[in-house]
Amino acid sequence: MPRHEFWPGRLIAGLALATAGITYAGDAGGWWTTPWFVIIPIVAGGLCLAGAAGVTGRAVRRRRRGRTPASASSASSEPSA
Amino acid sequence: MTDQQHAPAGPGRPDPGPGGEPRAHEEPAATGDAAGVELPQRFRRDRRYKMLGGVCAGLGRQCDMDPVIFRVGLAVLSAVGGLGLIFYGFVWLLVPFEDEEENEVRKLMTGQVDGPALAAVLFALVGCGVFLSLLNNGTVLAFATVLSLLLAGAGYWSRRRGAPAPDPLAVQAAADAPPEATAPPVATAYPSWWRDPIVKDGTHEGGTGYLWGPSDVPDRDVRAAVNIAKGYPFRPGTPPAPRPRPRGPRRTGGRVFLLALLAGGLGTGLTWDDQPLGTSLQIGLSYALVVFGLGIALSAFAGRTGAGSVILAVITAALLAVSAALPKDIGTHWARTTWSPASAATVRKSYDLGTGEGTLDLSRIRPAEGRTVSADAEVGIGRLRIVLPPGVVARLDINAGIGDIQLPGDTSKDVDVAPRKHTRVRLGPAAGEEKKNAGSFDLRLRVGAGQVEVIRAAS
Repeated sequence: MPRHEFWPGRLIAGLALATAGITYAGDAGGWWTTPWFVIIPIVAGGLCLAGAAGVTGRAVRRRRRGRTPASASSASSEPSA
Repeated sequence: MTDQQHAPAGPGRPDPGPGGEPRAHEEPAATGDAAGVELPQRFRRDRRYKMLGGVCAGLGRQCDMDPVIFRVGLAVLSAVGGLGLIFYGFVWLLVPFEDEEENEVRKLMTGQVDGPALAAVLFALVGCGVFLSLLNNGTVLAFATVLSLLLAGAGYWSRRRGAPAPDPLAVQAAADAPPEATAPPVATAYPSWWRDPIVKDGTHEGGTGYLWGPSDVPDRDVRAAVNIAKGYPFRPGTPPAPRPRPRGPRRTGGRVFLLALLAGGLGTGLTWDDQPLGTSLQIGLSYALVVFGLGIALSAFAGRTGAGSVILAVITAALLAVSAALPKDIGTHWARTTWSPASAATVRKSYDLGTGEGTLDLSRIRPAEGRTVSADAEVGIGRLRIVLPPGVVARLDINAGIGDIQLPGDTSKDVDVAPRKHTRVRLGPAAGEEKKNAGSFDLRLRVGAGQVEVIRAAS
C-alpha cells in the first residue's frame, strides 16, 4: 500500500484506542485491575488530542505548501517519520 | 430519444409535478443554458410547484417522482400518527428553498419571523403532539412505519431507476390524447416517440411501452412547454454519472472492521466456556478495540480510515465499559440447580449461582424449638426460588438489583419489575398454627437481575 503524508491525528486517535483496549485486556487477563470508567478519559481525551493534532498538522502542511509552492507535490507525497 | 415526460398531478390541476419538467439533457443545445442540467444532488424545497411549503414538490423532484404520491402518503401518515406532520414540519424548517441560502430556522433566529416559518413550527409541534398521543398504539405505529418505509423505498427506487415512477394518470392521459395535437412547439428539436414506427401491440420501437413509466412519453403540459422555451434547467432522464471520487489513499476502514470483528469473535469465543460473561466479553471487545486502534494508527501513514472507523471504535469502547462493569458472578451458562438440604444441620451458610434458576428447597427442614436456621442465597441473573416448610416463621431480607419479588400470596401474574428492590418481610404461619418458641428461618436472598420467588410447601 502506498504511503502518504503523515496524519498525526489518526496516529494519536489510534494509539489512544489501542491503549484503552490493552488496558482492559490486561484487566481481563488478571495482570492489573481497571475500573470500568477508566475508558472514558482515555478515549475522550485521546480523541480530543487527536482532533487538535489533526488540525495542527493540516495547518502546518498548508503553511509549508504555501511557502514552497513549487515543491508542493513532493512535500505531499513525502513519507513522514 | 427522450425529451419530456408527462405527469399532470390530476385533472385540471396546474401542478405538473417533477415529472412535468421536461428532460433535455441529451439535447443541451435546445435548452440554452444547460449548465443546470443535473439531477439535484442536494435536497431542496421546490418553489415553483409548491402547494404548502414545497416539501413534497422538492421530494418529488429529488426522487424523480410525482409529488402527489408524497402528498397523499404524508397526509395519511399525518392522520395516523402525526409522523407526516413531524416530517413535513421539520423538513420545512430545516431545508431551504432551492434559490435561498438560509433555512426557516435560521430566519427565525435572525428575527425574520414570517408566516411560513410559524406554520412550519406549528406543523412540527402538532405532529409531535399527535405522535405522542398515539405512541402506545402499536398497530398505528406499525402501519405508519410500513407506509414510511414504502414511501422511502419508492423514492429511492425511482431515483435509482432514473425514470419517473409509474403514474397511471400520466399513462392514461398519454394514451388518450393524440400526441400531435398538443405536442410542444419545440418538440421538433427532440427525437420523439411518435416518430418511431408503432408496432401492432401498441408499443413503439426505440422506446418502452405506455404502461409502467415510459421514460419517453412526451409532455403536453403547456407550462412545461413554456419552460422549454424559456430554457429552464431541466432534469436529465438518467441519473448523473457519479461524481468522481477525490483521489486519495485507499480506504482501509472495511478491512480494519473485519479484522476487529475476527479478533473480537476469537477472544470471546475462546474464553466463553471458562470465564464469566463479563470477562469473556471484555476480552473480545478489548481485542477488537486494539485492532481498531492499530488500524487507525496505521492509517496515519498509509491507507485511509474515516469517521466510520472512529465511531465503531467508540461504540466498541462503550460496550467494553459495560462489559467491564458487569458483575463477575454472571456466568455464560444457564444452570438449573436445586439445593435441598435434608436437615437443619446440613443447611449451608450460602448458596450461589451465576446464571440460571436456583431452587432452595427447605421444605424438609423443621428448625428445632427456639433455633434459627440462617442462610444466604444468591443468583446473578435468573430466578431464585425458595420453598419454605409450612407453619414456620421466616424472616426474609430480599434484594433484587433489577427484577421482581414474589411472596406467598402473590399471583404468578403479579410481576412488577423495578430496579433496586429491597424487602424485609416476616412470613408467619397461618393463623392457628403458630406455636410459642417455635424455630424460625433467617434468610438473605439476593438476585442481580431476575426474580425472587418465595413459596410455601403444602403441608
